[in-house]
Amino acid sequence: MNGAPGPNAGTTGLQAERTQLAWVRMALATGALAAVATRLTRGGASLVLAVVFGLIVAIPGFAAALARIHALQRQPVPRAAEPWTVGLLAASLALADALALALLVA
Amino acid sequence: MASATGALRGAGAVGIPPRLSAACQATTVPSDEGERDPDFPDYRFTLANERTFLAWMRTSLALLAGGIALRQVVPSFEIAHLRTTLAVVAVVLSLVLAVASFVRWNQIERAMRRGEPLPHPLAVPVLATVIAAVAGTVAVVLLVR
Repeated sequence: MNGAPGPNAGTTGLQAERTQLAWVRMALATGALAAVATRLTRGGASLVLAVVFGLIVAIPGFAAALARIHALQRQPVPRAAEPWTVGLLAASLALADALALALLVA
Repeated sequence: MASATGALRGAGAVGIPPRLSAACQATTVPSDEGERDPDFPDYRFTLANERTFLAWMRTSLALLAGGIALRQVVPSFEIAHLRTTLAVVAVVLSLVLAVASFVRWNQIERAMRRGEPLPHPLAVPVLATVIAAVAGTVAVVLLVR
């Protein structure tokens, strides 16, 4: 409180750690959704579609999370996420949504 | 340290103050005085923006999973196509949120860099309204059954 550097001076505190954990949760959620999608099918062609659906969500989810966590661990002072990292995640989910929508309507 | 504390106080704990992004831009890295960069907002705010984006993405994922589960797990309602319609509504909302969350993350990043007011979260009332409508419909159908 007196303005003197504290014991954590020179570190980024817990902010980067919380953000990394948020990415881990996100990756786990994409994996869980992929697993649930394959469990809800009745086999055959729908299982193939469910696996494709799961891969569309899970692979970009894990890739974006790994890239961002790696970047946060390398940067002494965290910078904003690269737009491609955030965009990859959003695009994969939007694509999965579109596929699910097509399957629901068909 | 004092400037960072002042910035947090300026950001406020409740609601979205009109000049939050100005406070974000005015601050510097609190513990790394040697690495100030006026072109980048305080990393605490940009990481908070990133976590908010991830929270929206998880919400979108939950809606997608909910839509699929509604179609595949829930027994068919007496009203024809109602179950599929509700599932489609959930998935469409998930799609909208996935796109809107990226757009919003980008808008907030830009606003913080330029010191402009943050955009209002339009998706929150939309999300609340649609979820309430879907839940209300399911509740009515189950009660009437």
